[in-house]
Amino acid sequence: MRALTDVETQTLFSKLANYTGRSLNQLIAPTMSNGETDEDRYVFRLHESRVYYVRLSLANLATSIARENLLSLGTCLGKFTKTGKFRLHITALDVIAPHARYKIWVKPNGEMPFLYGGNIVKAHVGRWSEDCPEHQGVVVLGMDDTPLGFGVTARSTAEARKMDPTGIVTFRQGDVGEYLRDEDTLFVT
Amino acid sequence: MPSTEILYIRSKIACTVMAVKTSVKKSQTSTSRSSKSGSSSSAPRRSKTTSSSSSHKITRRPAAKQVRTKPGHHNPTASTTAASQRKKRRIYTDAELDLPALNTITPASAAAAPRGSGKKKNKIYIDDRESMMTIMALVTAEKEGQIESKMVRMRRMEEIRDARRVEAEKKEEERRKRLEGVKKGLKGGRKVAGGERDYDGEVKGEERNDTKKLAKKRVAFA
Repeated sequence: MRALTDVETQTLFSKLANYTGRSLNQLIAPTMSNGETDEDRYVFRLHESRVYYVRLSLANLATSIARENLLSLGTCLGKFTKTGKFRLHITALDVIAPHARYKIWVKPNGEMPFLYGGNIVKAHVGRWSEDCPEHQGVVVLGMDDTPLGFGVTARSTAEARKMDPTGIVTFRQGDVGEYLRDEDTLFVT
Repeated sequence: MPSTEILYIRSKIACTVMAVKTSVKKSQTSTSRSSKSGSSSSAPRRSKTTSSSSSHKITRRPAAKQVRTKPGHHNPTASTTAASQRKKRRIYTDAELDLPALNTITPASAAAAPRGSGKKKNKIYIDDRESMMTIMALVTAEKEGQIESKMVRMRRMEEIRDARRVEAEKKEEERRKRLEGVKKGLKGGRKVAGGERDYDGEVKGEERNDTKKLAKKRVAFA
């Protein structure tokens, strides 16, 4: 387990910035409340090509565990591929959802198709953020503001308005259904 | 037993006789050699060859002479073809043959290192808040720019699409109007019998009557 290098940090942040706005700064420098020390800040740690968002005190404790015995710690954000790209996991949803820049709300009849791994069609969209360009990362929410996953817009908001109801507006990249579907491989390298 | 003894003795005698014979022969040859050295060498040799030729009838070829050459010295007797074969062939480089360069893997650390430094760039770990914030600011600015450009492009495209749509609507309206005129003309045409209509469906009966009148006009010479 080690800290990220400069290149890795940049790759990770650019991926996160696809979905979040400027409030992503809050991940690194959250507003310190009274009594919090430097040990309570959150850091990014790389362990077996996976990136974890973890409290520094916990990361320091984890150094006492042998590398092969350490399975996971903190929140897994995703993993680095062998080509050096970063792939965001569904476990990162809790980190990115509060800072999401563009959102799309799915109607209750569209939740199940999405959670089974389908893309979002226009007929299932309840609301969407205005002025969203195409191929932009969005966080998918239920109508009760529950984060369900994230994806990439297929069309801009203006274009999507003119589409027919069966047209795909958002390509799925991750959904909470993966916790069940990929149960065996989600936390194993 | 006596018979065996006799046999043994006889065999011994035979052996000694043989040994004596050989020794005599040896002494004879040594004497003849000594005599030959003293006399002329050609006569006995000829006699020997004649005797041998007469006995075997085979002519022997003289043995091939072996000529020793010093290493590193050119042998004039050797053929020129062998020399040319032994000549070192020219080896061409990849650049001379215009061969494409093979793909090679350059480690990220080596690629990042300044050229000619001969040193790898070591990994720089980012763990402090300040450096993380710097990278974050860079990334955010880049993303903002990307989104902004996307939005601008989107708006421009939207404008173009709107203009096209307006133009198409205008054309459609024109076409519809023309069609309506034709329709109206067709309906009105039934009332005005024999009236000429232009493309817009307007009746030109009056004009036709005028032309008829003009046609009737004649010039008379007195």
